[in-house]
Amino acid sequence: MIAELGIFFLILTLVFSSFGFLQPILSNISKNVLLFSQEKLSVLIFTFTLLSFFCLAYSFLVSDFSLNVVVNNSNTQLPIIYKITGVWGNHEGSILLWLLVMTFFGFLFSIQNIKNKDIKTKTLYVQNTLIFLIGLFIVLTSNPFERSFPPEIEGSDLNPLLQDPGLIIHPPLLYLGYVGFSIVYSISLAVLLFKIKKDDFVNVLRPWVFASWTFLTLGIGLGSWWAYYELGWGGFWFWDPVENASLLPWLTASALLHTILISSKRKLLLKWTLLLSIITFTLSLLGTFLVRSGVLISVHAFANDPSRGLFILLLLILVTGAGLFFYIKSGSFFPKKNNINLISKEGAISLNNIFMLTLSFTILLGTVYPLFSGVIFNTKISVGAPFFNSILAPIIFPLVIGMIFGPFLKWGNDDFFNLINRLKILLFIFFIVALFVWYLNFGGPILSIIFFIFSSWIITSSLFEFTKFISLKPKLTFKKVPLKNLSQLTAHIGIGLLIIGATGTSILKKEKIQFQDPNQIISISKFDVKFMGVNNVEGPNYISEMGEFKIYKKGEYLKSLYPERRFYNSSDQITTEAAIYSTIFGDLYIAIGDKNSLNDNQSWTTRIWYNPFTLWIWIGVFLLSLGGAISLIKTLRIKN
Amino acid sequence: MKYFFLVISLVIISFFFYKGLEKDPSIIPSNLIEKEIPDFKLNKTKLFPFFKKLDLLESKDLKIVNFFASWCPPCKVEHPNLIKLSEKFPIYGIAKKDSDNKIYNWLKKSGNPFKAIGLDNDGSASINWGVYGLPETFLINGDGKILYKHVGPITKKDLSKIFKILARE
Amino acid sequence: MKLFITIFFLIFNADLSKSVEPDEILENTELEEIAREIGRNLRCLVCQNEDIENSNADIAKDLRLLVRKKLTEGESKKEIISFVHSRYGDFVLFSPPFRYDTLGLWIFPLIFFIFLSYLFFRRKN
Repeated sequence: MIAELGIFFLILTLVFSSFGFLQPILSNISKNVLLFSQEKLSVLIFTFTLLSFFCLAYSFLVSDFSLNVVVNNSNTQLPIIYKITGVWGNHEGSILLWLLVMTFFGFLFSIQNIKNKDIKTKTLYVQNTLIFLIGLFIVLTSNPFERSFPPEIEGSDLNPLLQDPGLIIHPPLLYLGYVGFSIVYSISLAVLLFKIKKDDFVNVLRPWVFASWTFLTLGIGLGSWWAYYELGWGGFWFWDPVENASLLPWLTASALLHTILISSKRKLLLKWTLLLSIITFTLSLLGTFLVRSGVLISVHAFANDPSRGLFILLLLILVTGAGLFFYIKSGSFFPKKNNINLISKEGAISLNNIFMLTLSFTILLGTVYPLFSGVIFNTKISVGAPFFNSILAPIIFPLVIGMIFGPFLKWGNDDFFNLINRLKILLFIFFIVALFVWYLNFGGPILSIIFFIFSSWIITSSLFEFTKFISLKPKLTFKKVPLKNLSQLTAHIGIGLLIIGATGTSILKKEKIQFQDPNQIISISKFDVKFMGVNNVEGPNYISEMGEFKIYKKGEYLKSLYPERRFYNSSDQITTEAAIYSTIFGDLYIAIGDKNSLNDNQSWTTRIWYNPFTLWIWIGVFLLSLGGAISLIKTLRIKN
Repeated sequence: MKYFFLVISLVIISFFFYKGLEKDPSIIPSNLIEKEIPDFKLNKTKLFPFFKKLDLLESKDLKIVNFFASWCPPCKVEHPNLIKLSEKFPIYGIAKKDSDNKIYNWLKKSGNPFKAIGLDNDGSASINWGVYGLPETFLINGDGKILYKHVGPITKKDLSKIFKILARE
Repeated sequence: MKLFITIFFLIFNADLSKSVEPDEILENTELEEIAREIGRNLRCLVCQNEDIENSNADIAKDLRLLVRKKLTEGESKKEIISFVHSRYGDFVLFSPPFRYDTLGLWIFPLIFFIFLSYLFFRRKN
């Protein structure tokens, strides 16, 4: 019954969202067709999608095994929290979540106070049309309310890898980012489609770009953290197609939020801003296509179905085609502005755009290249981490250098020697910092030293710029600090910390893999790790082999860690749960393997890692999104 | 002109994606097709006739090399079809990480399609042949050239395909 | 020059070599280091996008042992990788070979970069 209600609400969503494109067409024929305003429609659509989503959540909660999704992705033994999050632990449910987020953004936009009513209505035309298309996709190819005949007595369980707190928050946040760009796309397409003749669209666009970017950053960061502590996945970043798919829109969106600075302040690159908005959402959709169609091999593969792939492909062509078509058609709609000088703030931001987009393009190319070369040359190649790592460095370095010096450049036209002259003190500080880092890291690989130096330069230059700014205005109180500077400071320091963390974790990590006897002590970095043995522990729906390790530092007891190997009852799967002791200088990361079959000595395979500065990655990601959030607050403040 | 460019690039890219949808990404082509059989070393069994690379090269007829193991469930699935194949062509079996007794017990129960069996104890022969999962089956012509590789259990449908390839030679 | 290359084409190995078993590890730490590097470049063929150092699959273990055996026998990194390549084809290599059909991987980003730079900094009028 509830399931029928769910599909009923879904169809209502479909019907009402179809007014998004029907209304403008119908109103051409007869002036009297007004039905509902687009604003009211958005509220209705959101409500119906939410109700439909609740119906699915309820079916999961009560383990309604007459539904296919529930049978395949849930189980009566499953803890309640994973019953609920299991809703988006599968293709059908997660696409419904996607739709929910999309209608949510439409709803938020419809209640936002925007002076230009024209932009508002027309954006909602586009947004509601997009919602209609996604809704159609769900109803036609991915109906979560499909019945299974006859109803099963027990479900086959949620993938044990997904039975993790990460599932509770990572997908919703990621979707808030991914799908948030749908409204950015809608605004841009509306501007191009209806030739809205005001450049104040940038101010309409801004809060949505910052909001979506902030969520996307958090979402990717959380996913990376999850992949780091879950041993079944390959570490905090390993260039899986799914990870790449989330990075592509993030990169173009990062370019976008730098460009918006120019376009709102200098009225430059207005068309480029629109194009970036369109590309960003297109890449979100492309990511979905790559992940859901099964054309690529990924560790995060969902159950695949070519008909779904075909539908998303059509959707992708439609959305991209419409965006680019109207982009070209608007032609010389915006007045051509002055040239951009390389050495100027605009120049620095343009360089940022060029490198960000080149990186995004290269990652996209590497991700889909096996597919294309398979079709053209009939070869089957792999493009993996070694390739991506090799192209990363030449692109990252110019970006980092731009980040260090860019903020000091003037608008319009600047001079190189003048810049160096202005930054004499900073260059001296750089020299001191480099020496200091060199001294601290003496004996480490040259690579890590270089990365540490560059990242500390980012941090010092950001702090330097900020203090310089404040010292110029002695009467400035903390509350009056301009949010623009604050957000740039936070985000750039975040990047600096991120690079330090990634460098430490990947280049300086130490490893000890061995058969460890109970009471045997393994020393790694400054820690002594004593193995206490393994106990069998029963969880709600698994049996676990839980190891106990006592951590000592200089003879002093610090903490006990309990890494596990879990044997899930209903799916016959094993997961390895690492245990981590995090400190500001590094993580102690312990995993337990098999009992040593060669001797009966009770020794076990233990894997102990020391990952320097891993915590800094997460702090960096947090600061990045904090920077985004501060910018968001700023743009919202402009409105009022 | 710009529109033309847009349409053309969209069409080309979506054509590739569409083609990609038809392909199964999990199929990996063998790198040894049309090449001579690779070098490999096997261990002898006590109970079955043994073979070496030279034996495969010297017999100038069509033959089949099958990688299997008694512990591998899909190998049992293809067993009846392997027996049918063995009625027309000699099959040389390479057992991966297996023991004499287990092979003997299994083949005694369900029939022996193999002309000769060698043991691949450390998996090195499998790597030399580019084998990545069990069972895998190679078709070899009279000159010792590999014609075709089949990955996974041989089904009835595969059987007719294999007969067709061998009939062409 | 060599330093330049290492800096610009460094390997960020974020993974933990989490499937290597204690009894597989070579006593010679230098050789083990090379073995890891080789392993990171070889794809586990039956897995979903994992290298052989990070996969529990049987074939991954066999390949790990083979790599280490060949290293102790004195073969070089290049020889070992090209041996595995000759048996399993291009798919096993995580960094694709430099060939006419893979040329696009390096050429297109360069073209893209030049095109974009032109778009931004060309002189109008």
